[in-house]
Amino acid sequence: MGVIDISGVYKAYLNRKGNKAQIVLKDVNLTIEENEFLCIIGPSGCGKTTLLNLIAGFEKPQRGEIKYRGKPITGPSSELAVVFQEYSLLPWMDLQKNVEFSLDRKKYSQKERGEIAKKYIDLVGLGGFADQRPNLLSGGMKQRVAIARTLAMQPNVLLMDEPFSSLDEQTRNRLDKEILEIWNKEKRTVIFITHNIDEALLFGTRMIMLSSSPGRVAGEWRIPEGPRDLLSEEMIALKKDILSKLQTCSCTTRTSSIIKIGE
Amino acid sequence: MSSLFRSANDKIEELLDTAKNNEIDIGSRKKHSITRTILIFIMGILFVIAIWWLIAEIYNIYFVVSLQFPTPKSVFTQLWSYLSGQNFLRVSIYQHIEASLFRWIKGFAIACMIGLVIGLILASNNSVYEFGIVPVNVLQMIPGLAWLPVTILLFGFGESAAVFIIAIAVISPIAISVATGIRKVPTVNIRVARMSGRSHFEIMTEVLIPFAAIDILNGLRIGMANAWRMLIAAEMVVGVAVGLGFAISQTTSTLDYVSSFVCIVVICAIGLIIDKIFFENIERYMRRKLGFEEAS
Repeated sequence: MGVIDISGVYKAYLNRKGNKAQIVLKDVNLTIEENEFLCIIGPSGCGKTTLLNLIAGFEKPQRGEIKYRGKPITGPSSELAVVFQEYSLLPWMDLQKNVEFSLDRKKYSQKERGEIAKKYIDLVGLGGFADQRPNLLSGGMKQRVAIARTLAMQPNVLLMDEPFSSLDEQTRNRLDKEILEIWNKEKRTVIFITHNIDEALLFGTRMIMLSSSPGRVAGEWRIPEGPRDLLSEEMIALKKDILSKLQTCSCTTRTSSIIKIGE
Repeated sequence: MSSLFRSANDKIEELLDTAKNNEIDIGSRKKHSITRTILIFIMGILFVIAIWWLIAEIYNIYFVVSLQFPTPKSVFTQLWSYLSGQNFLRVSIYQHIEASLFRWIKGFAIACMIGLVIGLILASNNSVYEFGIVPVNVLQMIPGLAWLPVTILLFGFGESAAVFIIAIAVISPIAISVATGIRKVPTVNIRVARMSGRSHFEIMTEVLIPFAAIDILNGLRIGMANAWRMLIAAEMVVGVAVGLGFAISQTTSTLDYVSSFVCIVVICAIGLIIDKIFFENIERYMRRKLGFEEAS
């Protein structure tokens, strides 16, 4: 039994007219182990975010089951916390309050919440901005707050949905380093969605590729642990292998994945 | 005059060459913009009065049969004597204003509470919305005074009848804007709250309502204006003995059109004061408070 067990999961969405359903995930089976840093790559629209939403408990699969430590996931919880792809801060709260917001009020006192929030804002390097409100910050800073907020919840499993996709290259590289440092400091299970192969190679202990329409596990690689050099021969070979596989997973919608619901 | 309508951009353009360290000193913008707003507002009012005067004069010179069209001069003179205490339909004008204001507040408050609750229920889920918006739309389509037979059946004539007509006409715009505002809240913000273990009630009070605050306020503002208009209409038909609407219908039937116009002027003034001073400032304050102003 892993931390998360996904077995035979199907997920389909209705189109706008409501007469067809597109199968987004088809028979996905996956087990995620303790302290694993799992990177999920794949073309856009292949169901990466859907898979993450299912694991986080925001949505339910039509068939199959997702278990967290042996128990089926019934809804969102602070055990499985997400860093969202889009900006998700509340504009009327300063950074400190935004981070405090995600902390359980039954578990921590107001004072404790303040201290935890402060610690994680410092961790992502925004200590000087704690009393600023999100709309005055740059995109990179907002995403760092979102990371701080999720880390502060001390989730058992950290789910990250392309957290840096809206950021520029430099900011992204810096945040990549920060994530790596944080993971080294506080080991935990992470599921990280990206379409940047370098990013995946930099963090991951394992990498899976979802094929598109319908999404299913199309490839899997183990990445040697420890500090890595993306320019080493081993890594370059690995990247070549992944890239060639990615090309065969074309992005065209196969008609077989569409269910007709009636005219 | 020309400086009054000049935009901030024109001013920046003019001062571009004075820039030091890439910064242009615009001067006391805030103070300037408040006087500017007030001046433009007064000019708008004067424009309305000018049009009124023009129509009155043309009518009185070329078309008059028996009764004169009230001119701004005669109306404001009459208003002044009412304000200084002259009896107006057995009571002072202040009592008419007071009676109307209280009816309006009662009707509006009741409508706010009901509208808010209906709006929150509508926004709670998609199926509820699809079903629930139908009766709200039906309600919205019924003109206020069409409720008259129902009102008389339920409340007879008098005070409660007027309050009922106001409330019923105002519930739907408030309910609709509350529901629309809440349905616009980004899913991701709701998900963050759910993930953090917030209860449905906490999500409502801490995420949904603040996010929708501006929309809700706009609903209240439309509701307020509707309520004020309905109030006057209601007073004209449901048989109350004091109030501005009552005063209009009485003075109209006694052909005292100058006094009718006095009531209209007072009604407009109160409505404008509430909207411009009360609601506009609340909205500005909320935008700042909620941090929406900072987003650009």
